[in-house]
Amino acid sequence: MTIQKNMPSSHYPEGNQGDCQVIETPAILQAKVGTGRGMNLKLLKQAEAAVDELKEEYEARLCEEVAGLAMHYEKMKKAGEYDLEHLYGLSHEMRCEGGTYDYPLISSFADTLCKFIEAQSTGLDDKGEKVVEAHIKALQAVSIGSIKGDGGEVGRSLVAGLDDMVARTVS
Amino acid sequence: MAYDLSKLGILMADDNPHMRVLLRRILTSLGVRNVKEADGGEAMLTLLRSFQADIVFVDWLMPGTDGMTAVRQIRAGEDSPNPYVPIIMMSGHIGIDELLEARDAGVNEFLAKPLSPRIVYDRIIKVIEKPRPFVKTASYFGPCRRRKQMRDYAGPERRGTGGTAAAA
Repeated sequence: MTIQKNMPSSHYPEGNQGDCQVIETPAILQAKVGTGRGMNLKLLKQAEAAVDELKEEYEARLCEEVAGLAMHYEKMKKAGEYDLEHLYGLSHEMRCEGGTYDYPLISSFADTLCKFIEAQSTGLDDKGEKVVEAHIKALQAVSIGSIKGDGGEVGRSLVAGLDDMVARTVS
Repeated sequence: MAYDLSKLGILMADDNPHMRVLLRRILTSLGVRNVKEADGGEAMLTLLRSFQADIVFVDWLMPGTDGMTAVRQIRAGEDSPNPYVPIIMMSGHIGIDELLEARDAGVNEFLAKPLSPRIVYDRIIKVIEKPRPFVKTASYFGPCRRRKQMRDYAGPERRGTGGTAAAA
């Protein structure tokens, strides 16, 4: 599967490129924020508290989102036609959010699932289905069990197991 | 003494509404009062015409005009309203290829998702404290990609003789 980025990678040659103009920009930001240095820990704590207030809402929708992923996958499996881009999109959003709300396992599992889907050029064969199903089960276990943090030894071995499963299936 | 972020105007683009709520919460808690949101690259480019943004946060993976395309439009688009604005690219998918691509498109800083208040704050501080001059060549326009001053560099000078100018 190709994740669309609309433009090809642009690695410019490092050789002589002829004229190069260096443009000094006015210090607009500095003028607006005044003098200071580094982070203000009081403000940082305030921002962390604000994120904490969103955790409950996240936990409530996490179960729904994982259930949604499972449902979409089952529908595709039944139809025998996989929309990998859609599965990738759902997994990608989970990967982007879990860690923010103290659910790093969600981000880890969703990340390996994304990497696996990226490596698929067409649909899913039997092995591919097993990989996706293992990830969905792991995501369900974390969301239903509200397992925060790294999940201890079980969590760590699950992360390693899924990593290994993806590496073996993709190579 | 802390920076006063209240006068900054920040524009963010992310197709995930939960992510926009999260980033807005973080920014307003840090003191930013003027935050505008777009749900995609195209909407962001449109907003940029009427909103004088001091910093742009943009998600890479978005349907339609994605973050990288939007960054290229901001930096190199002929009618770009704000080509020098500091850009912080957000993504849940990062590797060395992505970092190089973002750098070569003219991104100032990269922010890996999942977000945290500390990492968002850190990137804002970086664009404030470590502004880089812009560089214009035949194939690149954006903040200088050389983050380190190598005073004892003995290799060839690859920047030609274009000279220095002030931004209009």
